[in-house]
Amino acid sequence: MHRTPGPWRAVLALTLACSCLAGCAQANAHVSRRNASDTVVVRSQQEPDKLNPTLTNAISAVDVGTPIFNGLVGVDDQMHLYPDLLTALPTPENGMVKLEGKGMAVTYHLRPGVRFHDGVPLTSHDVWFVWKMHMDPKVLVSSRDGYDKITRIDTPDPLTAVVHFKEPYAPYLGLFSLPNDPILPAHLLEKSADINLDGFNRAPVGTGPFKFKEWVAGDHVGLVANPDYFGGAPKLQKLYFKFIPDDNAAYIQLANGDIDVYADFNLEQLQPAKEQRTFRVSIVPSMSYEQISFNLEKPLFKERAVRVALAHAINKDEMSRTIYKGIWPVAHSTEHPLSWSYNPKLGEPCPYDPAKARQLLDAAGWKVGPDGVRVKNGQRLSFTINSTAGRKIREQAELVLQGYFKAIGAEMKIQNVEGGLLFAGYPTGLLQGGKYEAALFAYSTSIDPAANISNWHTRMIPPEGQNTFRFRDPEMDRILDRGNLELRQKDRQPLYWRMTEILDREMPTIPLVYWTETHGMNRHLHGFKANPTSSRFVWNVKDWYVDSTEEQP
Amino acid sequence: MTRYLARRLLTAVPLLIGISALLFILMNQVPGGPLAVYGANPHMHAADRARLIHAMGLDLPIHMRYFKWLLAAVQGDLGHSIFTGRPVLEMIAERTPNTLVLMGLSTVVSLVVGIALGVYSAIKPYSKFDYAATTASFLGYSLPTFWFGIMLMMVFAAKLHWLPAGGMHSLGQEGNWVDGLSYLVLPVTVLSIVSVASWSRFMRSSMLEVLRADFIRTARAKGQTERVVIGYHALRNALLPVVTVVMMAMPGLFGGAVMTETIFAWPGIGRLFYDSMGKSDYPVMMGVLMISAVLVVVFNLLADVLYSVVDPRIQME
Amino acid sequence: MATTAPAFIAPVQELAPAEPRWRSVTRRFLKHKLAVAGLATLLLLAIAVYVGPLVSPYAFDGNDLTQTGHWWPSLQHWLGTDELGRDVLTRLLYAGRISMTVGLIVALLSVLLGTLVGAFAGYFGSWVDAVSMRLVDVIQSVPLLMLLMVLVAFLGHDLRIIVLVIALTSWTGVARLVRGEILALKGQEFVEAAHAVGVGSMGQIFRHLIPNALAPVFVSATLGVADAITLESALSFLGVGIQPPIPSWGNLLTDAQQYLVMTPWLAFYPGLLIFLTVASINFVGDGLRDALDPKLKQ
Repeated sequence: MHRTPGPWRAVLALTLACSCLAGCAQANAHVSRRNASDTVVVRSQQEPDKLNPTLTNAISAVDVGTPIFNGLVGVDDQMHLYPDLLTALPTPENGMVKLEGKGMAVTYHLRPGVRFHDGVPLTSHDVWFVWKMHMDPKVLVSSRDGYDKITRIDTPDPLTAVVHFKEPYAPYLGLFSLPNDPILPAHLLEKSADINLDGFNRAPVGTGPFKFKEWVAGDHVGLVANPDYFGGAPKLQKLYFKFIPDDNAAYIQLANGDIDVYADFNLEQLQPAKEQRTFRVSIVPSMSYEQISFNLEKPLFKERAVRVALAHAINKDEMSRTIYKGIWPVAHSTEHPLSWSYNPKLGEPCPYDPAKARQLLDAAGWKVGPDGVRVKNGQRLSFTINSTAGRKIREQAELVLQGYFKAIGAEMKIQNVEGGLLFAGYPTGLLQGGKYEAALFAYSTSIDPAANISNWHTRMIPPEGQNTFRFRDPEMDRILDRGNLELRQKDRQPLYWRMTEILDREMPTIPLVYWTETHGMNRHLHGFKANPTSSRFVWNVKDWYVDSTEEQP
Repeated sequence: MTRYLARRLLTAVPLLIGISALLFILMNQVPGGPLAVYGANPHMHAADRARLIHAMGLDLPIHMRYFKWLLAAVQGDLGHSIFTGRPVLEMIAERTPNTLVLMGLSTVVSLVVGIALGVYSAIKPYSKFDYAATTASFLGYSLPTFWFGIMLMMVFAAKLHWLPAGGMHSLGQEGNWVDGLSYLVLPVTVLSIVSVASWSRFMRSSMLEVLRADFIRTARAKGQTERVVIGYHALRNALLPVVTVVMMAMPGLFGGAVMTETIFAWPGIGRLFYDSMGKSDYPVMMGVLMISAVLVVVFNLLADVLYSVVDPRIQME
Repeated sequence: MATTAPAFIAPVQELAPAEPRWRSVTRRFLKHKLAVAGLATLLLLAIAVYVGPLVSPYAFDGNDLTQTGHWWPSLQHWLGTDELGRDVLTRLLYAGRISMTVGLIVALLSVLLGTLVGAFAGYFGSWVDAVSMRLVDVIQSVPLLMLLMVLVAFLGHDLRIIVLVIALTSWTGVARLVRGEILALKGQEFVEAAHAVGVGSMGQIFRHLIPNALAPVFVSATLGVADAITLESALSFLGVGIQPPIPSWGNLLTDAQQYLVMTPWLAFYPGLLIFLTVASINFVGDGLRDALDPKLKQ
C-alpha cells in the first residue's frame, strides 16, 4: 500500500487546514487584477429574477438594470436631481408644472436623438406606455403610487409628453425614473401577450450606456458597451455581474482579482480589508436607517413615558462604535441629514441618560419589583421584540439593547422570525397585522419625504398603508396631506420639519443608526462614485475605467 | 414480472399524489408568502397587495390551487416561477447538467475510492490497512460538510490561491474544461470524502461474504491464481449488491447538495431550491421536490428489477 | 402445541438479556479500541458541556462591550471573546449542551416512534403495514434537508419545534429495521407459542417481539444522535435552525462565518467539536454493532 488512500487525503487536508487557518487573514499582495482592462466584474449577491426593473423588487435586478435603462429624471451622488432623458427638469418655476382646476399638469420635453438598443427612437409614446403598464391589472407591478393619480397623458409630438394629475402630486419627479420605473420600449412590450412572462424580462432592451448580451443561469449576466449612448460611449467595453451568494467567497475573489467590485461589503470584513493592497473600500451614506418600532395599540406602549424612557436608556454612540463598527453613524431623526426634509436645528430628542429614564418611569408610577423589572398596576414592564432571523447584526443589537433596558428595569425578550412572517401583508404579517409589541428593522427613506404619509397618517393604519405603529395624530395627518399637495420645496420644508418635531415628542420609533453603503473595489478601478439613493453604485457606470498601468504600492 | 411492475407503478401514483398534496399545502401555508419580499415598502398600499395576490392567483382557495397545479403537472407543466415568470421545467432543466456534473463526479470518485478501500480491507481483514482505512473513512463520514467546505476554501482559495473560491468557471472560459475542473476540485473533494465510508464499509462486508463462499474455495482449489480469484470471481459477485445500492443513491444526485452548492456558489438544483425557498417561490420548490420524488420511486423500482436480474433467487411477488 | 405449554416458556426467557450476555457484550465492546476511544472522548465532551458552563465564571449570554476584541486566548478568556465580549469557551460549551441535548432527544423520539410504527406494521401486516410503509415512503421520497427546510418554515424556529421536526423526519429508518426484525421473529416458535397460550397482541409485541429486536435498534439510536446533531447544525447553518441568542454549534459556526476572513479560528472550534462528537458517536455505534451482534462482525 504505497499510495495514499483517499481518506488519508482528507486527514491531510484537514491538518493542512488547521495549520494554515491562523494565517488566512493575512493580506496577499501578489495578486493583481485578473480581468482585461476594458472589463469590470461586479459581484451580485443574488441572481436577479427579471431584468425588467418595473416587475421586480430585487436589488440585484435593479443593479443590473440601471446600466441598461434610463429614467426621465436621475439622481446624482450629491442627491441632486438632473434631467436624464429630458432636456430640463419640469418645475413650477420654469412653467412646465401648472395647476389646472383641482389637478396639475407636468410637461416633459424628451431629449432628441435618443434610441433604444435596437435602433428604434425613444418617443413620448414610451412614456405613455410606462403609465399604462403600471395601471394594467394583469401586470405584476408592486406599487402604483403616483401613477394612480394620473388621469391622462397627452403626446402632442414625439418629444413632448403632458401628464395630467387629478390632484397636485408633490413627488412627481420620482415618477418615470429609476430604480423601478425606467422608460421601457413600448414597441417591444405593447403587443406582448403577458408582460410578466415575456422574454424581454430575460433579454431587455433599453436606452442606457450598456446593452444586454447574455445571461448564464446561476452564474452571471454580461453587458456590453452601447457606443451610441446619448451621454457618450462608456469607457468600459464589458460589464459582468457575477452571482456569488457567500460573502467570504466574494471577499476572496475580490482579493484575488477575480471580481472588481464587491458591493455591500460585509461590515465584519472591513477590519481585514484595511490590510488588503489589491482593493480599497468606499463608504458612502445610505438612505436607510435602523430603528425600533413600537406598536402603540399595546397597553405598555400607549404610555408615552415608557417610549421616551426606553429611548433615553439606549447608548447609541456605543452601539454605533461597537456593533456598527463606527461605520453606521448615530441617527436622531427619521429624515436623512442629506435630505432637505432634515431639520438641522433639532438635536437628539432623547440623549443617552439612564438616570433620566429611571426618573421618568418612577414618576409615571413604575416601581422596581423584586426581580428588578418594574411593575405598575400589576403589569410588568416587559415586552418582546421581533426582528428578522438570520441577520447577525440585528441579533447583536438586540442583545445589547436588552442590556440597556435591563439597566432601567425593563425586560425585553427576543423573538426573531423569518422576514416573510415579519413583513407579510395584513393580517398575517406581524407588523401589518399588529401582532407585535416592538420590532427592530430598517426603513428606507425616499429622496422625497412624501412617502412619510404611508408611515404616519391615521388613514394608513393597516390594511391600507404602512402605519404599522398605529400612530394617530390629527396634526400629523394635516401636515402629511398638505406636504403632498404643495409643489414648491420651500413650502414643503417647514411641514416636514414640524413632522420631525411631533415624532421627537411622541417617540413611536427610536431611530438608532443610519446605514452606510460600503463597496469594495479593485484599486485599479476608477470613476466609482456610489450614490446614497437606490440608484446605488451603478448609476455612473459609464464613467468607470480601469488603469492597470499604475505602480503597485 | 410485467404484472409486478404494473402493480408497483400503480401503487406509486397515489404515493406521488399524496406527497404532492402534502408539500403543496405545507408550502402554501408558510407564513409570509411571495409578497413578503416587498417588505415594508411605503409605496405599497392595501389595493396593491390585493391586486398582486389576485394576479398571482393566490386568492383562490388552497384546494383549488392544488388541483390546478396537479392537473397541469400530470400533463407535464409544472407552472411558472412567481418571480422569474419562466417555466419551472425550463429553470430546472438548465440547472440539471450542473448538478449532475458535480454529483456524478463526486459519486464516481467516492465509489472508486470506496470500492478499492473496501476490497483491500476485505482481502486483509484486521490488518493495519483495514483499521486505518476504516478509521479514516469513518472520520470522513463524520465531517460536517459545510464546515469542511469552508475550511478547504479558506486554505486552498484564500490562503494558497491554488483553487478558485467558488462558481463554475472563469468568465469567458465556459468551454475550457481544465478551467472547469479547477472549480470542481473543492466541492467534489468535500462531497466524496463524506460518502467514501458508506461505500467502503458496504464493499468490505459484501466482499468478505463472497470470499467465504464455496465457489471461491473451488476456484482456489482448481489452482487459479489469487489475482484471478479475487479480481474476477470474488469482485464480480461482491459488486452485485453494490449496484443495487448505487441505484438507490441515484435520485439523491438530482437534489444535489444544498450545502455544498451554496458554499461554493455552484449553480445547481440545490441552490435553486434554497434561493426559491427564501422568496417562497412555490412553483419552483414544488417542481424540484416532485421531480426528486418521482426519481426516488423510479429508481427504487429499477433497483428491485435489477436485483432480481442479477440474483435470480429473488422472486418478484 | 398446547399440551407442551411449559416447554416454550424457556426460550422466551432465554432471549431476555441475561447477565452473561451483557458481560460478553461489554467484553466485545472493550476490544473495539476505536469505540472505546470514542466513548472516552464522548464522556469527556459530555462532562465538559454539561458541567463546564456551570463552573465557568462567565454567562453564555453575558455580553460586555468593554471586553470585545480579545481575539487571542488569555488567562481570563481561554479562547478569547467574541464580537459582543462574550467568553468564547463558555459559549462553545453551552452550545454543545444544546446540540447534544437536541441530538439525544431527537434520537430518543425518533427511535421510539420508529420502533412503534415498525412493530405494529410488522406484527399486524395488512392495511396497518400498508399505511405505515407508505408514510415511510412519502418521507423518504423527498430530499431530507429540503423537507426539513419546508417544515421549519411552516412551523417556526422554536427549539422544541426544531427537535420535533428532525425527529418526525428521521424515524423511518428505524421503522423499516424493526419491521424487518419483527417479520423475521413472527414466524419463530416462541412467538407462535406465546400466541397459543393466549398472550394478547400487545403483550406479544411489547414483551416478546420488541425486546428481541432491540440490539439493532440500540445501534441505530446511537448513530441517530450523530445524525441529529449534524442535521441540527446543518439547519442552523442555513439560517433556519435554532435561533440566537440560544447558541448551538451550528449557529455558532454560522456566526463565526461572518468573521471568517478576520478570525477564521472562531469557525474552526464549533466545527471541530461537531466533528469530534459525531465521529465519537459513530465509532461507539460501530463498536456496539459488533458487540451486540457477533454475527455481523466479519
